[in-house]
Amino acid sequence: MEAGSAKILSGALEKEKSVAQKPDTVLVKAAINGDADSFTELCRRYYPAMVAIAHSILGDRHLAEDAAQQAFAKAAVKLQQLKKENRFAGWLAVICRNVAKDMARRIENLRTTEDLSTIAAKSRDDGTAETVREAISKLSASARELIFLRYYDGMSYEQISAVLGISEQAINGRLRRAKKKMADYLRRNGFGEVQL
Amino acid sequence: MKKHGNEKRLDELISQTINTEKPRFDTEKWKQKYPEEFQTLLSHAAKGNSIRQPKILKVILKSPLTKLAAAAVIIVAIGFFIVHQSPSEQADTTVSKVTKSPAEMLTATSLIIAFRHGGIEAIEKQCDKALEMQKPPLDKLDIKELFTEIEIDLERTEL
Repeated sequence: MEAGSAKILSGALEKEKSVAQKPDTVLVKAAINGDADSFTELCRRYYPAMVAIAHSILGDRHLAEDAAQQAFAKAAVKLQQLKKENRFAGWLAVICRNVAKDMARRIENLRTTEDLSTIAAKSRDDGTAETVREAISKLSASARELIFLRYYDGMSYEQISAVLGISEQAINGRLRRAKKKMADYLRRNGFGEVQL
Repeated sequence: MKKHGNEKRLDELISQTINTEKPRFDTEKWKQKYPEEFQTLLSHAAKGNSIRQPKILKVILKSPLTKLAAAAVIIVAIGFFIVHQSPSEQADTTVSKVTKSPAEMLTATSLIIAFRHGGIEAIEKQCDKALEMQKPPLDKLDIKELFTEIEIDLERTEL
């Protein structure tokens, strides 16, 4: 009995391993044809990136995770509408951005009635982190998203390029400009040593 | 050197601020949270192939190379049709276009032309057509003439 269950388990692990090794386009094609394993593998692959994108908009980790999961749910329904399999990551990023923006709008409406003391408490936690957070919030939405993608999970330029649909050179340039802006802001706010 | 150090310091500051624990996707939780969406995904399995099929043509026609190939195939097909069209049909069309009367259709020149186009079969066809054109049309036949013909026939049978 134990040997049988071990065999089933090893079989499932083998399948998972083989799915994990497949390229995106193969997984997307299979997912379009209703293969749940392929779709969940895609979710696993892009979850950190989607959370990073949502976090850059919402400014909250838990909400960002909710938004990413909701984006996957929407993607599962709309998958048949995807025209180019090799653009899956970019397509998913667009869905995630829209979900996060919707969520942010709803939260914004709620925030007017929320107890402002919780926000004040958040800002008192750590001076350095707060200033850096402010520096990030001063960036444009696209630059902020790029910073989150790069530093959230140490994503490579190649991975970011797949999600944003821009070249690695463009990513490098945008990242440099964003960091320069942040450095300027930090310098003006007491971080004298930060210069780029 | 200092610049490099500063960049490293900024990287550290950003990482400390936003870099938290790596988010991990929990498949089972997601399935429980979005059961309808998951079922929709699974439902694509049955109709998946039939939905994607019409797009194959779209993909083929998008590439300029395949467009050229498709055009070439169409041209070859038309050429093949013209070359291998039955000779008798060719003779028929050409002769009927050129000739006007049955007499003209049966001249040596037009018969030679027909023979060149479709051999003996074409000549036979042309002759048949000329004879058909010679016959009086039925709708122009007079009733009186018809009755006299019938009477003659009856008299012959009585004799």
